[in-house]
Amino acid sequence: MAVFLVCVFSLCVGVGSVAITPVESLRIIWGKLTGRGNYSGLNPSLVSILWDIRMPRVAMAFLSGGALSLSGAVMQTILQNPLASSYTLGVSSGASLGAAIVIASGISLPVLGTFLLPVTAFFMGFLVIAVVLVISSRISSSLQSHTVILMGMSVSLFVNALLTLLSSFAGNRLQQLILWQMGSFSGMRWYHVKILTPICLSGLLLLVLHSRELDILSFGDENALSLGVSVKKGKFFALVLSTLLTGAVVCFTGTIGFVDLVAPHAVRRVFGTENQKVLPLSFLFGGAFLALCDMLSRSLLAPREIPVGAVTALAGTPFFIWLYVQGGKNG
Amino acid sequence: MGKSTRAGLAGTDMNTAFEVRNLYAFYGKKRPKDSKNMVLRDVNLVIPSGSALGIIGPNGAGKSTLLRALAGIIPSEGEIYLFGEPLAEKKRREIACCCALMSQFFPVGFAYSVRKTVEMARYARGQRGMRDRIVVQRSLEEAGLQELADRPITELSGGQLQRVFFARALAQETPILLLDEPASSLDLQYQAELAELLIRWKKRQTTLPDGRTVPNTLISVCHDLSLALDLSDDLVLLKDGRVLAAGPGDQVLSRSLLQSVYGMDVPAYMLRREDFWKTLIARET
Repeated sequence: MAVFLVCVFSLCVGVGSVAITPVESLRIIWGKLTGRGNYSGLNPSLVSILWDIRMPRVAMAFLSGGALSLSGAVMQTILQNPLASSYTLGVSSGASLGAAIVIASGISLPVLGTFLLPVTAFFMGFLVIAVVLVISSRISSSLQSHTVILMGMSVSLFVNALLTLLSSFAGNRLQQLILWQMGSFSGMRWYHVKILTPICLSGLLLLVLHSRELDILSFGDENALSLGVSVKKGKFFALVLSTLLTGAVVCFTGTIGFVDLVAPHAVRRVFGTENQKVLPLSFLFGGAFLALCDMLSRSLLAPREIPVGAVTALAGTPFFIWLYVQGGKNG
Repeated sequence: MGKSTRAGLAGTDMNTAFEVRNLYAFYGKKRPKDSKNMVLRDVNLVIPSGSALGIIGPNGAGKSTLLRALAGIIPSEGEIYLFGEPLAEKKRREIACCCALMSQFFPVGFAYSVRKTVEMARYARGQRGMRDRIVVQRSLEEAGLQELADRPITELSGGQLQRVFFARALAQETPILLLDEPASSLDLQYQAELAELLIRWKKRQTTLPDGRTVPNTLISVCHDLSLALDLSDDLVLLKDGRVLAAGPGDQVLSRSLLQSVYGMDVPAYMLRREDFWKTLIARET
């Protein structure tokens, strides 16, 4: 796994409109990390491309893929539905609506500056989930899975309708809005990585610590209760945490689908179902997958960029089907 | 069923597994105006520790609901005391250390192995040591699952699954077992083994995590009246959510009472196949 990750990383850092060999990248990274950089014989622009543009971008893609897959794995487990993800519950619709409001209205706040868009998107995403959870808990006190899923889907359809309405008034800002929704890692800097890293790591740690409860919750409310798990508290905790993870990613990058579905399933297929293994491996695998997809999205038709969301689905679907066909033969 | 000696005073009483007073239960958010629409109506029971109680009655009588209410997993009105303490005030883990519920439905979503599924029973006791592995292994063997231990539960038959969830209830290591139709999907051999195992189990006692030792209490819902008789000392006959009769098996299963409940003449041989399970077990051993 570690070897695989190093390979993915050097591939992602190296490939691009300006190719950088692994040796060169290692020299630059070593120099930057130790602070005793000796870049003789290297083009200074190469250093800045690698360190200031490509590295944060790869890191962001990795963290985002990891966070999305992690939250997908959790959602599938506690909602006992292999197709569930935080998107099902409307995080992305909420975040898109938030982004649309900022983009379409063109407002700006001096305090938040460039962060106005992600912050609004994040809070709108959270607001939608909060609405879904409040309505669901009114209907079923133990947050029954199908209630949560149904409410999530209807609320996100409603929010999507608002979004469509808003887009039709967006006029010349429409393209910017659509591009945001498709998701992209261009323009990611180190400060983005600094924000996302602690969120991802603490989320991963908390969820892995509670992996036993998550395992039990996958057997449904009645079983979980009789085994001694407080279902409502557990579900609420897991739902909020995975929403937080998705929200934090989506607000910076826009909507990127498919990773959260593919990565956990692939991991379960290969390594088994226990969440103690599935959660961290989904994080690593999803991260590597998204980093590779982002590398493809910026290098396939360089210098043009393909939306990374399209690449995840284009590359992910055949892989996913192959994995299932293989599994079917072996099992 | 004797009358309670305590006047509802809270306090530990390890001699009484359950005491139920004026229990009403209903599904859904709204309380039905008419108590006739409740699933359980004014149920009163005292279940001493070390006893074996069979719950019988026609479909929809509220048998499973009564078990769920005792396990504290559905909301109910009235009072339920578990070892003398109000069930509603207990933490989920405490309840799960005292009673294990094996329900009629076996949700199978993800492909956990049989052993992993059974290991989940150890959650309430919060340990992951050598002793837990021993208890899990013993439960697997008792349910005849040694050879299936590493198979994913998604690949099992209905009867095998029922044994997995039975093994899980055993592995919870509780002094009270609440079993909902424990033999409904089992073939004849496993029905006999289950009966034998439970008859042995109810003679044993269990040590709670806090060190107190309590004689085992078996509460089971059975449609097979003769199995119910073999497993239980006392029977409770439910109909339309009410307790119609309670007491020693032979008294409850009177021909006239069964006629009125099931609407048919239940012949005596259906009730006691000459200690069918016991003879079957005796012949095997």
